[in-house]
Amino acid sequence: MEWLHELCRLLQESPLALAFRESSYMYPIVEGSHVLSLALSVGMIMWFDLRLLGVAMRKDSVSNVFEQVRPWMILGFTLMFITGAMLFSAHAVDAYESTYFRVKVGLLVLGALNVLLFHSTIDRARSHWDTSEIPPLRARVAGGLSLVLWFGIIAAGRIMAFNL
Amino acid sequence: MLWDLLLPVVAWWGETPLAMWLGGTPLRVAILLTIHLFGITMLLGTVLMASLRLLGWFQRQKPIAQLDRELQPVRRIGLTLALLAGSLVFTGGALSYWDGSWFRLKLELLAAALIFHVTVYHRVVRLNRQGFPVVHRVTAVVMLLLWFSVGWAGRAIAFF
Repeated sequence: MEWLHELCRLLQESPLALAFRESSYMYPIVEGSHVLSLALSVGMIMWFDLRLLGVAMRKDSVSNVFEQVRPWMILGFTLMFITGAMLFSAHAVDAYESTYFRVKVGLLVLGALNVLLFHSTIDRARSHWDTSEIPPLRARVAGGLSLVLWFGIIAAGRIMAFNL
Repeated sequence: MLWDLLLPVVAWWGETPLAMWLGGTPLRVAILLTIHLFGITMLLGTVLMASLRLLGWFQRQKPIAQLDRELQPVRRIGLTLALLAGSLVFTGGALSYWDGSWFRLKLELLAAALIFHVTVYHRVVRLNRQGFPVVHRVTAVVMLLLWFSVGWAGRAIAFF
């Protein structure tokens, strides 16, 4: 997609992206924040996934685990998205051309689809299984998929950074 | 002092066949760094949850001893992965890491975080006090600062 490539080039060569890429402190701080926010985002959502799998916090209702984890998870993913967008702007062309980045975006899309599918199907009947120690199969599949996808996204991001 | 004392051992360790193999291709290091990051995500996630609980911002109804018991398996897996993969990354470039001041700071902070965890934090869990006393809040803040400083020092190794 030539136009997308061109768009990435314009972004990467913009004065703001250039200044950010070459700053001696801003860049490491944003990059470090992106990495360490993982503890808030994935580090939190994984407990909801483990609850859906029936592996952890079985005595708590699924809704309770979700409500406890939600605000922190949202904060974490907001931080990840903002810092991620900044990092992308600094290397837009390289990222666009990187296989690992494409895999990462693909996995993020799959993750979003998994969430949508979960909320529009089995989660609608959550009141029936909210307190089950082991939720129904489709909820367990959603939790397991989320876990696998998120760790895949971390791997793709980490290896991509190594190759940039 | 201790750093210089151990220098010959590190020099020898960095020349072993395992070290040569690990440092052989960038892909091996990238895979190890990925596993290191998996461990960090799990470990720091549990540190955050325990700290937020002690601050009264998360799972307020759950006693800290109970939450700690639930966090334990993931914390152990996370710490094991982070330490194992981290040691192997170190092995692949032992001397160059050993000479870096950020690496030294990272290990010193890690030692401080581990000691704090098994002394102060374990005591807080054992006493399992109700409510949100000042001791709990201070413990949470120190714990967060220590563990996240280890993370920041780790990032600094790559940049400076």
